Amino acid sequence: MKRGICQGIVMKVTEQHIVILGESGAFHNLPRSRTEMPRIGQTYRYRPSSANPLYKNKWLYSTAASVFVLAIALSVIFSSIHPKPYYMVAVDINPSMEIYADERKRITDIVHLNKDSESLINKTKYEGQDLMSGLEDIIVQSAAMGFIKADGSSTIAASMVHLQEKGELTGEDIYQEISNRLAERQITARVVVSEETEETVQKAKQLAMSLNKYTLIKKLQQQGIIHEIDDIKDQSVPQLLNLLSKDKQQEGPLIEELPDQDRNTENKPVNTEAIENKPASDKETISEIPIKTDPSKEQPIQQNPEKSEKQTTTSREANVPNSEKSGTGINNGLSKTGKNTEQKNGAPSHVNRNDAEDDSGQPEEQGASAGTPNVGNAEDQPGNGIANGSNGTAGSETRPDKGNEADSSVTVVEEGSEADSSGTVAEEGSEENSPGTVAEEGNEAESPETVAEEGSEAGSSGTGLAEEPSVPEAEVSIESEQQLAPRGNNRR
Amino acid sequence: MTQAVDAEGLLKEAKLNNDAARESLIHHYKPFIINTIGHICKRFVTWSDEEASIGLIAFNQAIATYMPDGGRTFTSYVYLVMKRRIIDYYRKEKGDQLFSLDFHLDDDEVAATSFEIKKSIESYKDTADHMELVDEILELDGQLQQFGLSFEELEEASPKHRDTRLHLMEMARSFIRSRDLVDSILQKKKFPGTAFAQKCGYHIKTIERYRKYLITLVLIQLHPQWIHLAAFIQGNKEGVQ
Repeated sequence: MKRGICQGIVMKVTEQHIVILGESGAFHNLPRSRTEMPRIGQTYRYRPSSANPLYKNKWLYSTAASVFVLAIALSVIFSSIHPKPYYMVAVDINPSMEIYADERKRITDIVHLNKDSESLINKTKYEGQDLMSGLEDIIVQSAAMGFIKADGSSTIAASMVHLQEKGELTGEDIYQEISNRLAERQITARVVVSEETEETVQKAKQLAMSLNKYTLIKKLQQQGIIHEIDDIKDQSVPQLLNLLSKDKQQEGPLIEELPDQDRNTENKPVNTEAIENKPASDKETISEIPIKTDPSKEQPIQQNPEKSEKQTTTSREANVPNSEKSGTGINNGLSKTGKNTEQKNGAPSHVNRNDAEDDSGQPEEQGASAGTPNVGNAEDQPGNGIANGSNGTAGSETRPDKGNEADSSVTVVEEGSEADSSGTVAEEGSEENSPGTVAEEGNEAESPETVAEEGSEAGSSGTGLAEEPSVPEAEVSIESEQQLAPRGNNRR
Repeated sequence: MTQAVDAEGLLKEAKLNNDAARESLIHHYKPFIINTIGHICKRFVTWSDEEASIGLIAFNQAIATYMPDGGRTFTSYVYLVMKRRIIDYYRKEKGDQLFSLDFHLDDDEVAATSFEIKKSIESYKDTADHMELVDEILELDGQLQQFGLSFEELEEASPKHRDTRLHLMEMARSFIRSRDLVDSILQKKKFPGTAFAQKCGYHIKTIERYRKYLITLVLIQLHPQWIHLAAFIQGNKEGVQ
């Protein structure tokens, strides 16, 4: 008998089994093949379970099982090492991409949304890199490859999405990063940063378009500029932004009317002061940003600073300018609005200085030491400097002078480069019309102050921008970082 | 000791046209009949198959024609008769161009089948001595059925190790030494596990775990005439080499 072969007697044959009484005295149900039909009582040879092929290949099976277990363990470990991304930043320059980052703001993945993006970056190079430095690289690379042009015609749209619970990274940070990088390279570009939800991301994906494009189209839809997505689906992000800007231009008169309304409402002199205090850059910003078609909505926002602040906090787009709170003028305008209200009731003559100081987070004494109140305002706001710069350029040719007064090393040259940007109209309106005028009237400021006030008109418009929750847009042209630095030093 | 089915007595009665005896005999040999037909046909046959009817008719014919003095056991004779009947049936089927789906008979296969039949008959002659074993198996099957058991259920309850098997053998011997327990099991057709545990001091869990196997052992030990089964179950022939 072969080794490992047992024999027994057939006790019973069923459809499935052959029941064997083995010589060891144990019964065994052996599987029966279709043609196998032993007789009862017949001696039957069989391979016991311990010697069956399955058991014989136990090493093979145990190896397979251990590989399987190892694979599961590795997948668990891998998923714990690479958990679901925490942040997603969708960037549209011309190259469009989605950058995913983990909780520690390290890039986990980059999804290319077009071929330009693929040619721009090698995503494996960025994996594990800090999100901000990755973003910087992308900006630098884009500029080097000509995707971002130095003439100010380029647009950088970015959306920040918290894929899990709200992390510490905000749209402000993204805006700041992009702005700083552009400033370092003396590049003028339109930067639009917003914060979106994961839901919006999904909707954008459903429509097979980039997040930034989708949000812009949504805005256009909300404002009634377009009705069908298909009409403008093929347009680029800059084109969509221009559409928004054009709409704003049309709404320019609405903004211009605001000061008149303010005048009419004696109980709300806040705006006038706010406008006075605001740098010209803010004024110009408002020209870009106001999208609301309903003046009744505009008015209360400007009239009531508290309301406007609330909107700023709820609106992510408004938060983007807020990122300039330390640096940009948009948010300054907002905060000024509130503060101006108090100040107006108090000491009007110090209003401007105090506002600026507060905005920059500097003590009042420093603000006071800044010299001319209005100039001090402008100086105290590095962010204003950026915004002012851009707005100032867009606003008027006289702006550079004002910028010099306000140490506006950062000069916005919006309209010079972009003929169709809505900012032009609004700026013109703001310069020519009520905001500046009202501000001057309200403060009865002397000529040097008036200049500064004009500069700060943008601040008032910045207020409007911040109040407008829907537009996260700011055109920024930054001459150089070196120019910014002294200002900061002066401030401090 | 229990009274096993008296196949010889039933056979004699059946030959005298005792229908009850004939029925009893057929009932007793039913597993053998269906298994033999399946073996001849080389496939699993159920009572609903035509071959099973042919086999049953052949068995009935064998009862009538069996000669105890002919030098054959009844089962070997029955096997021979049934095989011839089945072969006749297939020849007839082939002549009528009716082929069984499971039994394709072309020329080669007929030759092969004929060869196999010859070999089968030879081997059957060789194993004629084991016909007693078949009777024992059939009787054990009948006894187990009274306990609601079948052979295929015994695998689970079988000991996997030799020591356990020897221990169970000893338990069965202890069981049959107790007249009360034997009476109880034969009357109630139920293993008196608790009483056995109390009386002999075995662990009730062990008894319950191997209850079916213990019943088999007890039945085999209560039938000392089942010498072949006793030899196997006691492990006198160790199969694994």
